[in-house]
Formats: sequence, structure tokens, C-alpha cells
Amino acid sequence: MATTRHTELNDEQLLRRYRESGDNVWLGVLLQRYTVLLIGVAMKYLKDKDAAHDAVQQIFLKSLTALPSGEIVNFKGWLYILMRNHCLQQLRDKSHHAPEETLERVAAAEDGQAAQLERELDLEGLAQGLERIPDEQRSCITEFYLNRKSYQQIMDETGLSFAQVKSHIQNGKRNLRIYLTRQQQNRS
Amino acid sequence: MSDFRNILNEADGQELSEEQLMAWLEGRLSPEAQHALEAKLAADGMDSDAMEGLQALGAEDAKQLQRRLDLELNQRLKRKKRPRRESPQTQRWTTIAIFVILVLAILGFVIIRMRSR
Repeated sequence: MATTRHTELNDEQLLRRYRESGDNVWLGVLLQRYTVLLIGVAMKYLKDKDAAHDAVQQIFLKSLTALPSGEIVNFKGWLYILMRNHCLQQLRDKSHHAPEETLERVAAAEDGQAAQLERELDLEGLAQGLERIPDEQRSCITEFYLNRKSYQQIMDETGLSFAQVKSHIQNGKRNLRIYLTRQQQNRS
Repeated sequence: MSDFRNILNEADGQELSEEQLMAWLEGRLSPEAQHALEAKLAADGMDSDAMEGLQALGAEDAKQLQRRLDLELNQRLKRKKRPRRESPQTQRWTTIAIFVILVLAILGFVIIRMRSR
């Protein structure tokens, strides 16, 4: 029999019901909201279906047995950190020989999250910056943001893979930010 | 020109629902809806990581894995929930044993008092 999803309750309410009643069923409902996302995160880092299955199982087990007693303001964020740390640990262990690129990309992503700079958006500078980034990054950013195409459409037109399109867009955005920051520093 | 702003602005903070995610994965969204969802991909975070991983896995494998994991979780929750119940016979013997111990203790007390007089 399918578990009732209790969609009328948000994460905080489900957690509160679990803590007040001690009934694991509430925690189960909450965890199942994120099964698909957890599978996706595990697959991104571990790149193996069985390893992803084991990773999600481990995260479920950790959540059932070691949920912090203090308040969890953002349960989704907490689960994400738990899964990412678990995957990074797996990658560092000898049993997983991850290519250096994987760990470098993870490190780059962490750096990217470290600071969101507030700056006055210089549209002219942005247009100039677009001309200075590598062709494939410019092409992907233009097609996605300016021509509002989907990833599938860009893949069909360019022959690039999903991961390549995503990488070009992310790296292109990072390079644009770097260019704009340097322009602002030069002016001041 | 406003589209240029979209390049560096982060995607809106709207939560990605499982239904939206599966619809995207299965290719059931219009190109416009796909584009709107994929704006999250350029941002860092759980949604972005998950979408990338799920795209590599594919819709059918993702659904299969989800069903299996949810089933295993429910089974684990049932195992944790079921309390250990003593059978009525065990409870009866426990009660008898307690009664016998009490009677013996009282008898022992009485005998010791009688001998001490």
C-alpha cells in the first residue's frame, strides 16, 4: 500500500510531528520527498547506479538514526550536504578511483558558492565580456539566455552532450563574472 | 537587453517538485517549460546537481531506483516500529514467578522473626 504523502504539510511540520510523536513514519514521509533528488545528486558524483542506490540508503539510515536534536531550518539543504559529503568521502576512499576532474569540479562548485558578489550590473560590459569568452561558452550562453532555448535544443543544434552544455554555461558565467570584476577594479 | 541580465541573475528560488523533475526527465515539458526549469542548472545547489545526475541516469532507471529505495525505507520503518510483544503465556509465567518470589520472601521474613523470639 502506498504511503500517504501528506502534501498539505511542509517539511518543518513533518519534522515537528516526528519529534512530538516519535513516530518514524513522519520522517519516512519527509525523506521520500527527496528520494529522486538524492538519487540524482549521488549519480552526479558517483556515476554508478548501484553506488547511488547504496549512497541514498546510507543517507536514509543516517537520517533515521542520527537526526540532529536541534532545529533543522532547511531540511532539504541538510540532506544535500549529507549526501554530498558522503559522496565526496566515497570518492576519496581507495575503492573509488575518481578522475581528478571530478574532484576539481566539485571544488570549483564549492568556491562558486562561497560568495555571491553584489555589483551593479554593467550591460555594456556584459556584452563585451561575451565576446571575450571561449566560443563554445559564448554560443551556449547566447542560445540559452538570449534565445531562450532548452538544453535539448542546444544539444540537437550543436551536437554537444548535456554535461558539456551545462559545463559551458557554468564556466561561461564564471568567466563573465571574472571579466566584470576586473573591469570594475580597473575603473576604480 | 533585459535578457542579458538573466545571464548573471540566479534562477528563481522556486522549489523543484518531483512531478516537475520527472516531467523534465521524461521529456514531457514544452521547450519553454524546459528552458525555465533548466535555468536552475546553471546555479549551484541540490536541484542543479540532481538534474545533472538524473539526466545521466535516465527516467526509467530513476523511477525504478526510486520505487526500490522507497520500498526499502518503508520496510525498515515497519521493522523499527513493531514493538516486541510478549505472548500471553510468557506474561502469565512472569506474574506467577513474581508472586512466588513475594510469597517466599514473606515466609522467609516470618520464619526469621519466629526464630529470633
